[in-house]
Amino acid sequence: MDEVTFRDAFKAAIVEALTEDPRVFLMGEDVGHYGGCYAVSKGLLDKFGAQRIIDTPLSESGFVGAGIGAAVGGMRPIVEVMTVNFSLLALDQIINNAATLRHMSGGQISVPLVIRMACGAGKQLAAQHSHSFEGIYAHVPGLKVLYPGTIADARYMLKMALADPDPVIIFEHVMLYNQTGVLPETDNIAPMEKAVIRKTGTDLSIITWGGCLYKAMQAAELLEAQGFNIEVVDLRCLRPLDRETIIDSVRRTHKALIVDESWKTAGMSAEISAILAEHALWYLDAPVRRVCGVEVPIPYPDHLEQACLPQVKQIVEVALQMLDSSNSSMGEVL
Amino acid sequence: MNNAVHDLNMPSFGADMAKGTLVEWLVKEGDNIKRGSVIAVIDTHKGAIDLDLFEDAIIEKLLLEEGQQVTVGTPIARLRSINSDSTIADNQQQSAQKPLDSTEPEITAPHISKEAQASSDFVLATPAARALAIKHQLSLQTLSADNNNKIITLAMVKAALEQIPSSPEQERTQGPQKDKAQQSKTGFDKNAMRLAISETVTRSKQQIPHYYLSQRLDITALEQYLQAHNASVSAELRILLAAPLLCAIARTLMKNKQLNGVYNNNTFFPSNTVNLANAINLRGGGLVMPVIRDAQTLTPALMMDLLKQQVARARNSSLRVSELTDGSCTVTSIGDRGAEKMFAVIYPPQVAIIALGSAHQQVMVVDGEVQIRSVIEASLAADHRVSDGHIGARLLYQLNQQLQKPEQLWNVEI
Repeated sequence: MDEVTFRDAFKAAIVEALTEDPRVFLMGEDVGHYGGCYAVSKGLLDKFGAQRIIDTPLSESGFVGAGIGAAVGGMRPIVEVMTVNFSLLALDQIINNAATLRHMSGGQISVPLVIRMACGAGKQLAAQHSHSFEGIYAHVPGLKVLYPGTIADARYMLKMALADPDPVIIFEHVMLYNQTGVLPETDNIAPMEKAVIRKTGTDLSIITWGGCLYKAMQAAELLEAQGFNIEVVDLRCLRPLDRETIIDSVRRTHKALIVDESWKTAGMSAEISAILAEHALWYLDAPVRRVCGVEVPIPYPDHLEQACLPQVKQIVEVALQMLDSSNSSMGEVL
Repeated sequence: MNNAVHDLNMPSFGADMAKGTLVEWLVKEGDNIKRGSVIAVIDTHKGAIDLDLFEDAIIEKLLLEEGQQVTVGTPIARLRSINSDSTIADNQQQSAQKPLDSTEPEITAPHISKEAQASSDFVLATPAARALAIKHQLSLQTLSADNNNKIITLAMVKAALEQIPSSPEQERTQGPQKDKAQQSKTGFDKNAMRLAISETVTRSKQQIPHYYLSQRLDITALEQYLQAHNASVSAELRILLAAPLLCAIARTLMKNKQLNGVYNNNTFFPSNTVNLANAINLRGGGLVMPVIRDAQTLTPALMMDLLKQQVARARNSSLRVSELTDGSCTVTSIGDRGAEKMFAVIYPPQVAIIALGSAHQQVMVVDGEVQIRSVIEASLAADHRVSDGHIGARLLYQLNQQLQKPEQLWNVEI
């Protein structure tokens, strides 16, 4: 079967939504004539027309707010924010309006809005276009936060997000767009709020999501070659978080390694560590470890940018320390 | 908190008991059990003990299999309480029994700061390793020593478990189980009991700063009163000297709270009743200390009944759990043909023990005249952390005074 890119998968999902539901439209900076900053919507303006593929001014607060209004008015908007860094300009709309209206209206108002955001580092776009802020959005009640890391999720999660009556944010890691994979024939993926165990194992659980999933899978394979049996948990949805799957996995493997491209301090990896401390402490056979982004703004030069990001080699090294039965390295953690 | 469903834990029959083996279940899941019914037989170094319930309850689940040995405080069954608020305090007490052996960390080991870690003998182990070690009663100290003081991991505990030749379950499948139950029921493990006594008295002498006082008790009046009483009743209702003596001691203890209670974690907890532990020698060696609850409320006749029953049960190893827990002070007697004077070792966590020498006749000066009187030399050993000599002296003085008015002992004032 032919392989497709993540870009193709994201695009096919949008085309399907536009085709099947007249309430759906796409709105954002350069999504029309330019075809999208990462070319996800290339050709859609010709196909669906300017009424449904709308180029907006460079005003995140304005067009995200317009998307909220349209959603409240009965439409099913897909709003594209060029990168997660720019979404900070729309934080007021997302957190103060989209996330709160159902609550503040006593359940009368739904905001069935989907916001797509490119995010993550690796393309030398420097500190203002490369960050990972999914942890910030996962902090906010009223939002749902999806982060597809497989080709099937890239293709089929949008449909689930549009069907949801509440605002859903979908993160698209920039390093995934050109990666390829075989698309399953059916849309039979797990519900969007469930974490999925991508590889089962008995010795250690790597917990990750989105743009780090493929790195975790590669690390697991390398560790497998050394005789270790590694489990990989793909969170897929960061809010609501599927705690049960995380806890269940670690209770079986007794070791948890969290891989998170964003900063360690007060982020998703900290939340997951806390969940394990609360619910799986007596099952842990090693301190929880985290491989995260270095705590600096993402640098421009390629070698510095790469040095800031979780790498397969690093994941393998930390996992080996945790798997070392003589626990000679455990003292360093204490 | 909902007390309706709660765990029944392996009880402790005293400070010298760390583990117990469930020999036999006498009930099954779903049974409706009345307070006081015997539900299981538990084997300790003191022999087989009947475990009786402190409350009316339904057996929700049996958590141990017959033949399994567990640490004191480990849940052995899940109960559902039936009604009655008055039993809640009791059943909490029965459920709340925690492991006494300080070398076994509790499953809820709190987080420990670096400073605390350095100053205590906290063994570093991963939580999973700690949990497994506790489940199988492996000592973390030993594991740590066997592994060059490294942090204990699950793998080390598993390796240690594989080295243990046969688990209780395996033993059970090897031999006929009924025989084992019978065997346990017929006696106690003499060596284990000696070892336990040795550990307890060593700990007591090392940790409790004892002080000792001795007082001659004039029991002439009591003997005369008793003779008159015994002459007026049929043989089976006759009362031995021990019964009114214990009554007198219990009532005097009520007036001296600092000698009646337990000392735990640097704090003394006075008891609001006298649960008098009565040391009984077993044929073939060994000691048990069944507890007479609320002893200050008993008449000599009731006390005599209880003593007869308890001695009989102690000697054929059918004491009940409720008879062996919660002692607040101990009395030990040397017996008729024993020494005149005895000094005893406090049974932790209690804070005092009264030792009675043999009754004998002695020349005494009474009201300026030389008389022959019946006397007992009583001694008190008490914990100096909790009380001082004058408190102890007061107890012995009051005890002697009490014995001069034996008729009062036959009246119960509550």
